[in-house]
Amino acid sequence: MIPATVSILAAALLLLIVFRVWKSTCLPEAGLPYGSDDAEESVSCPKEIVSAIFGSDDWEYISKLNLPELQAVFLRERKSVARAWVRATAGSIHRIMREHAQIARCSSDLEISDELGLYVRYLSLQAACAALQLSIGLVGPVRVRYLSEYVYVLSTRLSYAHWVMKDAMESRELQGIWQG
Amino acid sequence: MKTILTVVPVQEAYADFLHRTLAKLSCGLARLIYLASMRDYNTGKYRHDGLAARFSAETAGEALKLAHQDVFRAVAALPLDELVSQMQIYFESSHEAQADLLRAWRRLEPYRIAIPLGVNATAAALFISNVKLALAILPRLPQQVPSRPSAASPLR
Repeated sequence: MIPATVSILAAALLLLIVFRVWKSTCLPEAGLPYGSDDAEESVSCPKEIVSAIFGSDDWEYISKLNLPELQAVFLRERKSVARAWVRATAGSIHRIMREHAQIARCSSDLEISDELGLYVRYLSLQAACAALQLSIGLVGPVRVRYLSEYVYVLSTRLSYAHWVMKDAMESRELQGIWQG
Repeated sequence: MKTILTVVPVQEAYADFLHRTLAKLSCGLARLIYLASMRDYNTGKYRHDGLAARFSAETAGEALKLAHQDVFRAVAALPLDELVSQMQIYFESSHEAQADLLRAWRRLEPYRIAIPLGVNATAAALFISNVKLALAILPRLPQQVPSRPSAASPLR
């Protein structure tokens, strides 16, 4: 039987760790040269860039050089870029959903099942982004490659689904105007 | 129809520039720096008199912009070892002392203005981060003559 105080201490320690990791992911980004421009944020991140950030090739190269201070610099730099990508992706899907909600509110012809599907995708993507941020802080970007690929694929699909539904809604509205 | 008429000359100018000029440069990093130097610091517009004479100033500007974005995208995704190798080739081609160049690149960070407008922010961040790492790695490497990367694609 574990004493209650030990359990409380363990829980508090766990919370502290989670809080520290979360806080480190919320720091303002240093060195993002074009990060705040809306027009540039709309340019999606190429897949090869995501693969380069989370791939293991660069880490293997750095490890072979056998210079601990360089390894530390590499990890710090790569974590920072990886977090910036996750933040940008989470922000981008949030903007998509906000825009989608605005369109949906004005639409008289909503498909509930499509809307629900899109919302479920959005929630799972936000959860995956949060998990990715925590994992990058804890184990580094190289070990979370598969999760990053999952987030990349899902965010691309969500974006595509949004544009398809937006087009469909707009064409239905236009049809309504022509017929009415 | 109008779109086709405007896009085709840009593509021609792009191909012309790629094969006449870019292919002759030693590596992707050299091409990137060269392309950035074609851009006016104040307006962000690209200028190349030779290309403008063959096509038009606007077409040449658009072609250079596209080339800059393509070359940047390729260089930003380079593996670190290849970027280090390209940096070594680029520094050697300048005929200046490597230590002086390293110092200037660290202090002035000229590579920041090599980033074209309208690129993805994460790609720009990765490029800057990788160049910083390459600058830290290069002086720690044993001195050797780097092998020139393949000239198969003028974009890399």
